Amino acid sequence: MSHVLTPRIHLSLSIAGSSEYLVYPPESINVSIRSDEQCLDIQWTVHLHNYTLNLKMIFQIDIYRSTLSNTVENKNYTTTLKSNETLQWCWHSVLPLECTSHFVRIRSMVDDERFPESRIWSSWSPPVVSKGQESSGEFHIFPNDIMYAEEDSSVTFCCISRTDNDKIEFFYEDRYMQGIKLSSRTTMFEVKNVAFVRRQGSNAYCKLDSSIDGVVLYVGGVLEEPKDFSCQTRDLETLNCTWHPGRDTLLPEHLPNNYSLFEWFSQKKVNCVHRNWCAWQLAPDMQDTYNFTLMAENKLRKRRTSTFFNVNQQVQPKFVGEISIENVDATEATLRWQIIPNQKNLTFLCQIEVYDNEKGIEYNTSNSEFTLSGLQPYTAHSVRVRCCIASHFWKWSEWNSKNFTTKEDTPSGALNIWRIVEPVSGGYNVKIFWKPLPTFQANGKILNYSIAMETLGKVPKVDIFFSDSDSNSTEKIIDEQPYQISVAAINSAGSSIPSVIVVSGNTEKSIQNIKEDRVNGTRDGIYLSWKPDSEETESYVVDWCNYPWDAICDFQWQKFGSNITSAIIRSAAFQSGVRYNFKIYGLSTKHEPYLLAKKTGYTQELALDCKPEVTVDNLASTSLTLNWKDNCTDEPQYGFFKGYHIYKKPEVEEPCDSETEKQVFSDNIVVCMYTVSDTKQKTFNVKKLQPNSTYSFEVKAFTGGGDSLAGIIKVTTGTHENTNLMMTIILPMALFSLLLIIGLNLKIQWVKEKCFPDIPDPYKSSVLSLMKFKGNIHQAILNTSDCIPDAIEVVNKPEISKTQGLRTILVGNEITTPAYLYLLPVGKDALDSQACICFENFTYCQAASDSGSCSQNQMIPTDQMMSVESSEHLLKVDKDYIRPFGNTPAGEEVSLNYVSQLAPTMSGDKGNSSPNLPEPAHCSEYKMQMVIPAGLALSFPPEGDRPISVASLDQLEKPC
Amino acid sequence: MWARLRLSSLFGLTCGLLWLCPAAGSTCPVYQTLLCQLKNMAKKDFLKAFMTDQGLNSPHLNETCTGSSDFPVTETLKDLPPVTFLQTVSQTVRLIEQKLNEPVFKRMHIYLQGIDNNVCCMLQALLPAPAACPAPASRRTLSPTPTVGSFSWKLERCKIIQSYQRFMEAVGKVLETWGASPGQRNRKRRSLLNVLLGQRRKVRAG
Repeated sequence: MSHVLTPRIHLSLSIAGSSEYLVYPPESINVSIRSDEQCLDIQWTVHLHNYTLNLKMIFQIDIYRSTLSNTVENKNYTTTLKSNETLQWCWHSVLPLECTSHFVRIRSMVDDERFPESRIWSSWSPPVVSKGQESSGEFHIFPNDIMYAEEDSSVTFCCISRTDNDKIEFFYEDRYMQGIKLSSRTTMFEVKNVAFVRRQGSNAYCKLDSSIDGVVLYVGGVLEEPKDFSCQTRDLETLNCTWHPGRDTLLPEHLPNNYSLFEWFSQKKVNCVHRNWCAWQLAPDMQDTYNFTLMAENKLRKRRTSTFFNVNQQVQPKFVGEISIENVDATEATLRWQIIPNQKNLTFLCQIEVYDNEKGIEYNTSNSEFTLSGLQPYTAHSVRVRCCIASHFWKWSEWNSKNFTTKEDTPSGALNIWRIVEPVSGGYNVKIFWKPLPTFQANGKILNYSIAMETLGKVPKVDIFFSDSDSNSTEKIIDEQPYQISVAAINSAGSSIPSVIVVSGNTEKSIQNIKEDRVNGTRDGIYLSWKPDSEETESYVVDWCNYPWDAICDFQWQKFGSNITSAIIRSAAFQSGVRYNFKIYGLSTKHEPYLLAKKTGYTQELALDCKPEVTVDNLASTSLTLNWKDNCTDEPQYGFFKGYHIYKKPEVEEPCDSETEKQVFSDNIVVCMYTVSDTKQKTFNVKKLQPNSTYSFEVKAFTGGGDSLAGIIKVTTGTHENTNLMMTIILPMALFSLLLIIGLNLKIQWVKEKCFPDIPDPYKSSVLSLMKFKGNIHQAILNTSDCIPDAIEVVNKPEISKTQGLRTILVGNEITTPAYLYLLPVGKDALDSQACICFENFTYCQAASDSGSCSQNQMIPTDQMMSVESSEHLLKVDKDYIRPFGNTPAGEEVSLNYVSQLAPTMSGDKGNSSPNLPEPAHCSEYKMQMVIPAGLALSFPPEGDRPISVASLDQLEKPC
Repeated sequence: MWARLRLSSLFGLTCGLLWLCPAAGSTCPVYQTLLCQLKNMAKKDFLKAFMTDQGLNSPHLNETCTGSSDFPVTETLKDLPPVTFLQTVSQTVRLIEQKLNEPVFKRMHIYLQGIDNNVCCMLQALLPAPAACPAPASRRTLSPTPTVGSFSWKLERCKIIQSYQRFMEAVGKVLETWGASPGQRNRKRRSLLNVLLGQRRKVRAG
């Protein structure tokens, strides 16, 4: 309801003068409230002249509360005026319009190029008021009862009291909220970012004393624009438009989202019942092109989306009924179907897929029928068809499927046959085996098998009999002549090509002469190979039993081409630890088989199930003998029995010798393994053991599958045998050494005898016996003092220089007393090992005393003289001594001549021996005479002087 | 006897689950079962669920729901003769049905129909006359109801349900005084006229 506050009259003015301008002030201003939209509806009119039709104008609209200073809207509204048109504009207010009064005033201005001089604002219209409820004297909340808002938006409420300054409280979902006082009776409350709480809405209410007035705020999700909006037809009669409406707005059921379709060409509109699809009736002959707009709207928002299309290009064909299958025979069948829309201007492309049990084949056609050919006889087929518009693909129709079975045909191919021939009395028992034809060759249900046996002997005879359809073998006893056996499969359409095999008794006898070879198995099967046979061999056949231990052994065979000489025989029935026996035949071009080879083997060998019992014999310190007993045999259910493994495990680790093989077990125990390859050998000598050591021996029978259980024994070897060692090594060595010593001794004696004969003992001289002395024998010996010595001519020699280093000590005495000349080598060893050599002759000293060189030597004027010389010098002297005169080099003057070698014995002069001078223990009683060179001339020291030797005292103290 | 009780209980349980015992055209349960069912049905609380659903279970709005009731209270009902009592229950229930004839109250509506049917069966047990059930009353012209889902609608429906709840509480209390067989009652019967006159006197005196 609106009120014009000040009635005024507005005129269009035409000012005379140089220029004219147009002014059309707004008239009949009416203001009202549209509560559901919270919209202030402003309507006004303009009184126009005829010549000002379609005049462009601007209207300025001011909206304010209470006073002009509180303007809440200033809008320029532009429009082109039409005659008698009521202008209208709706102002949406955030604050509920009932909360307070709103004033509206409008002014206008011509904004037309035709009248540029008229761009002058008219005067403001008198304000028109939209009265609020603040002075109603009633307690209210606005908006009242129901309102709607989108999620996360802000909502403004106001509470109006009955009288001024009443205390009003506001609650939103029981949450007290502070308000803003708009007037003495009106308070505004703003709830920001409202959220969905429940489908039944959120309660907002004002409380004044005990009175409550409220509003339910329904918060919904934002209405989304429909997506994937598209239309299609299945029959060109009905158009089906679909879209995705987006997420649920969660508005209550009585406030649904409404969807409608509007078509622009036909200007028709349809309200959609469903929220995601809508149907539209087509007029196929009237209209091909459509321009649809989908409108979605609810209390809060409107959305729209459009699509433009030719309906003939958006056709998804549809089958009418099922496809039919006609004229089905063994290899062909004809398909027919009906599809809509069936307008003549439409062409279709149809896709056909045919499946049998194994494969699928695809065909394409533009017709509504299709003949399938090349089908497998007596086979279930599945066929399905789908079509689309060929001129413009839109969508495939749904698949239309059907099943059918082709009729039977004559079996193709030939049976795979084989035989077993066993001699019986008077002939052979022949077992004929065949494998059922696979489905693709049987071409129908096999009714039976025909077996024809024709003799190849002189008297031809044919015996034909039949076997059931579910059989795969037959048995017949034949005589010794060869037979040709033909087997064929028969179904309702006919018979297969007969398979032929010739059974010749003579050939079978050769089986005994062929040795059976062992073959190795693999995970996949058992590998066989054979030598290629003659050129007449058409193929090879390997036969075996899947269950060789069973009476019904499940006889199997496999054929190979003539160019194949090896194969891996596979079978699901093969098991580990089962020995399979294979026979390999050549099949001649005359269909006559002949045995080529026999093989035996395992897919995987197993260890034997036995345990040797071990004993020990001949236990010695380094060897022993192991004996064992067992029940291990070469039985087919485990593996090929290859011998025994003997494991030696010493308590103290020791290396394996060359005869053994080192084995390291999983627990890092190292053992030495002997291999006994002879399965019949039950004893084994173990050598090279360590004495006094403990060994564990394990004896295991082994196959390719591993070792059997072990027979274990623990043995400790004996101690070391010294006697034997002595007997064998040391004693012979000792005897040999003894003999060698004896021999050497004899040799030394012999050499001594020959080279250094003993000086005859004067006491034992035969002269003594001739003199026939009576009494003491010593009395018979002459005393040197009694002898008159011969003169000795001593010639000084320059060779004295050769005796440098030789210490010569001449011990002189009074002439009347015998003096001893000691020639001793310098050095301990020499003293130790050399016997003393003594000269007892004064003549040496006399000659030497004349020599000046004598002073260089030590002359000991007592009998306690000792001379120390090097052994080298001694030897030289000795050598010189034994040198014969005749060997004197020419030019050298012989200065020394032997006079007499008789010397008085020392034994009679014991009283002269000094305690400081060691007496030679083994001094010969004969003193060897020796030449004293001139350089070593004796000199006699002054009387009273002690004899001095350059040798050390130790040397001197050393006994001879 | 025990087996019969068990069967009756089973039937009662079935009815209770279905909330509906068709009166016309089918056999009514035995009186004792009906009585038991009615007592149980009178205890059903619809107010709490409604207030929770509508977000009215706040202290301020709770008070607003609570108001005076237009339906007879315990003091009024307890002095009514059984037939009159049952007819009053039937009429009141039908009035509430009429007021709550909105999709939101669909389940409650079915429940109320079940109560009405059971009351009808009880009346058949009490009255020798063949058609004891009150004829469906012509729909009253109700005062204009506020917009469904509005705040005033919520409060008004809350008040109606609350009144119903009070009324059924009173009905339950009266039924507790009823004996195991039809016609048995612990207290002296009074006519509805006497009851109403007594109420008027009380009001005037008050």
